[in-house]
Amino acid sequence: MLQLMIFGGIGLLAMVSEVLGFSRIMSLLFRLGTLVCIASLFINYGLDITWFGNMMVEDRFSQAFILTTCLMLATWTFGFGRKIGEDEFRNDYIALFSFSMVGGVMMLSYTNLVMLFLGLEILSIPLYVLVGSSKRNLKSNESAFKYFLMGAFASGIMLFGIAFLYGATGTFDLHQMSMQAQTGGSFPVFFHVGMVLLIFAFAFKMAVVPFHFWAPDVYEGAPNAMTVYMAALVKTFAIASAFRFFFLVFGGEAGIYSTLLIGMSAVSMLLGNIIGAVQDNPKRLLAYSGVGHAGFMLMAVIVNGQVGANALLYYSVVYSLSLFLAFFVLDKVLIHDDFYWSIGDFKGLGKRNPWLAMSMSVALLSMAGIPPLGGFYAKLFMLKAAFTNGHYVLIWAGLIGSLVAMYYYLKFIINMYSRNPDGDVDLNLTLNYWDKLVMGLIGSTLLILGLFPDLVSALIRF
Amino acid sequence: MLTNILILFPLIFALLVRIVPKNLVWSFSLGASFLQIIVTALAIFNFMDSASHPSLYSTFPWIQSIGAKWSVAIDGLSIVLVGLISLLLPLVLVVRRNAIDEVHNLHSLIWWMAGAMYGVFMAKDGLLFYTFWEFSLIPIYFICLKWGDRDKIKTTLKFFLYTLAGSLAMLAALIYLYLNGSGSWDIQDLYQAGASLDVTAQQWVFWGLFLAFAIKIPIIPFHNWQPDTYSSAPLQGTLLLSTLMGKMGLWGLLKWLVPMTPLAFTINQNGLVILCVVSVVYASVMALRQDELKRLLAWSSMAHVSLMAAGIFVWNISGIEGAMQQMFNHGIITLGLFYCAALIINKTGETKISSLGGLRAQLPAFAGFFIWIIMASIGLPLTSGFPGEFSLLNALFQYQPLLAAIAGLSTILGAVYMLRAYHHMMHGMSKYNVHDIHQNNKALLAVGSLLILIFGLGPTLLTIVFESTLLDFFTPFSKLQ
Repeated sequence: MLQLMIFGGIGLLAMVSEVLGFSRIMSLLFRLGTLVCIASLFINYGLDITWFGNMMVEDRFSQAFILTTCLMLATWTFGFGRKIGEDEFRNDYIALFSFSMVGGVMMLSYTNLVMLFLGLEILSIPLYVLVGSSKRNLKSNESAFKYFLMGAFASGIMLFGIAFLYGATGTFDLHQMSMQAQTGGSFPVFFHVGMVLLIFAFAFKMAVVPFHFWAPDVYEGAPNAMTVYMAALVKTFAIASAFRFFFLVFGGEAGIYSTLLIGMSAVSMLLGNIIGAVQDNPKRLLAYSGVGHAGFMLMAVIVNGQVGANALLYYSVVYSLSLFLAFFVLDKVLIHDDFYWSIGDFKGLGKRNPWLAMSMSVALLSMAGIPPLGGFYAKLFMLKAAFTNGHYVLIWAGLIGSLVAMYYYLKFIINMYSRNPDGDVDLNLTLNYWDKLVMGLIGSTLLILGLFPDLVSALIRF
Repeated sequence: MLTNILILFPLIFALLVRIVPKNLVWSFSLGASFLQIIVTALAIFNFMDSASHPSLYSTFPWIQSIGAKWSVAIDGLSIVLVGLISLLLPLVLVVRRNAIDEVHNLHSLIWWMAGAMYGVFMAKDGLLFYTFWEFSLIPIYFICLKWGDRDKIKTTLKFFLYTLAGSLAMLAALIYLYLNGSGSWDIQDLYQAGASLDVTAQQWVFWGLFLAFAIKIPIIPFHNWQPDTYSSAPLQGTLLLSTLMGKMGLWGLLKWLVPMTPLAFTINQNGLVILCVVSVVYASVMALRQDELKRLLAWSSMAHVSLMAAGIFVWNISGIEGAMQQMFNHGIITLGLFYCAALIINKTGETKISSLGGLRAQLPAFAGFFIWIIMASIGLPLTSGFPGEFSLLNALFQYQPLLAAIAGLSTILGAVYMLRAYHHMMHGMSKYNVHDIHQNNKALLAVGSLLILIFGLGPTLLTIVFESTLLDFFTPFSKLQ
């Protein structure tokens, strides 16, 4: 709740900062605010506090996930903040990011479907603007437009679903809904319709098959910093809020809806990675890989319970860090601004700049799930959770998906290390110390998280 | 304590070798590898002193939330392979001193790989074993990718995807075992968990694990990556792959497959032994048809490791003993063979056997070493290739005389293709004008030849180390055969 106020406050301050003349310190305020948020979480850590007449509850789950996402935001600012800071509209961006975080915090702590919808909208609307923030760029505009159309449509579907659920149960409150579900009351047909619509709306935000079509286009057109924010944080918000819904309503596996989720998760892992294998544009490729990862993270929603939540926490931390690292490198390598990017741009990166090549390898190997990098243990915890509940379809899909994914991650590595750079590129990609610091810290965090996976669960645990 | 040193020192060297001055890299690596040999020797002394010496195992909690532990130990069996790594590392590190660019990167990767392989052979915890198993894949991939020959991109991709497919199957099997056990990844607990499963579940676990190991060894029909990778990898990569990495698969069969799923193993045993024997004969026939030197050696290596796998699957004392002996000796012999092949290719620039000839006149000393190593590979008595091969064939004979006869064919075929290749390359009209090999190369070959002689004359030097451990390990599972 405190976090809601902090982010909201920063957003408002950022909007008026130009007028009141403190725009210079705004990015500092944003960073400080994030840190204060992280600190403020420990005030009520482990307590259940209700807000807004029981519409939002600050509980263990929301605290763990808000802490995770705030840490991610801090890392994101650490990596990409400088790039944003060079832009003339930086304070507008800060406002938009803060507001989208407000929406995210709401999505992580709702106990009322109205709050879920509000959170989703508050999260999404700033994103539509951010995706198109590269104003004079046609691709960026295109992707913003696509994202807006699809996103508005998804919001509509969610609202539709919520309306159905309200009609069936007579309440927006998840606890009451859960009580009706637990007592085995028979719901009318449109309860199922509502559930399916709600799942679809969640699926859209997570970008799982078959609601993934927007992801490659939007990822491609959006500026790198925004893309990675969407791919890492927004995905976590969406999956965690879906998790929260099923956790609060069904308290575990969700019966027939699980079957639907299992289908979507398995198909995402297979199809996302297989389509990813034929991509040549690195950003589109990572978008499809993100579809595969979303399928993996969906496993946690299916398994649910404490095991699922802990697996999801670890997975989202590691996946976000890997993405930050990968996009940081991408941002340095794909410097020509014509959108005709290909994996070929990575040719000979090992010679051009060993730092970038090594960071990219670490990020990709972590996403692929090679021990002792964090990604492996993330997948291990997920697979273990799925095994415990006997979802063998998910295991098969996950393993085959990982194998296919390895193929396209290796394409990067092959290009970086065993091909020579094209004649017309600058052979020396220079980096400053700050870049090296960012890459070194994120890369070694990935390694340390892999060597000592208990560190995450010692800090954040559901 | 020694166990941890053996694993962690190479990983530390892998970092250090990047920062030492470039002209000191060789000396640094050589010195470090001698340090490893000293530590290994110390471990062997401690082991001979008392098999349960406290310096030989170490356990710490690692991932408590799922009960995984850092649990490494040296027993009589693993010490043979640990010794093999320590013994071969300096030989791998010093080859082709001047022909490699970015030496410090290469050495860093080799050290990394060595640390991971020490871990594989010492791990007593399922998750740790898997971690090291995968961890060893990355450096060898980069070695092959960066310093390999022309076809490197395709072959390394194939190699990586093949082995990763196997590894993922193993991962699924291990998680399944873990969930059916007592919440620990300890190998003994996994044994119990495996034994308590019903037949169908054991079959799933068995084939999952088998896939990983069979691809690594490799056995038919999972061998497709091997000849290509061996022939396109740089010399160091080929040496690491053939002498050490294949042994990881055999080690897996022995320690992590058969005792893990006893029921499934007894059901599949016949088929597996036959598969391995077919693999032996197939690889020998393929070797017979090869004209390219490195490919011939790759197929010949596959014939030998398949025979070891057959020895393990026969599951009697003689078979496992033979396999252990062969794992050690085959490592040394294969190193010698690939090294000789690399020398020939390097001297003449020719990779085809048929286009070579008459090298003996120009390389007299080399020819002597070469024929000695070839004899060891064929399994001539008094060379180190003989005792292990004899035990293996003996074990097969006890299992089924016909199979022993068929597998015995491979020895004859081995003699045919090896000697024919030697004859083609070394005898006849001299086609090249080359200088005799360098003193360093001679020294290296002399070390190898000497090792072959020592372990050929005194096979007990090896068996005395692992015999009692083998009996202890084998007794609880002796009913399986």
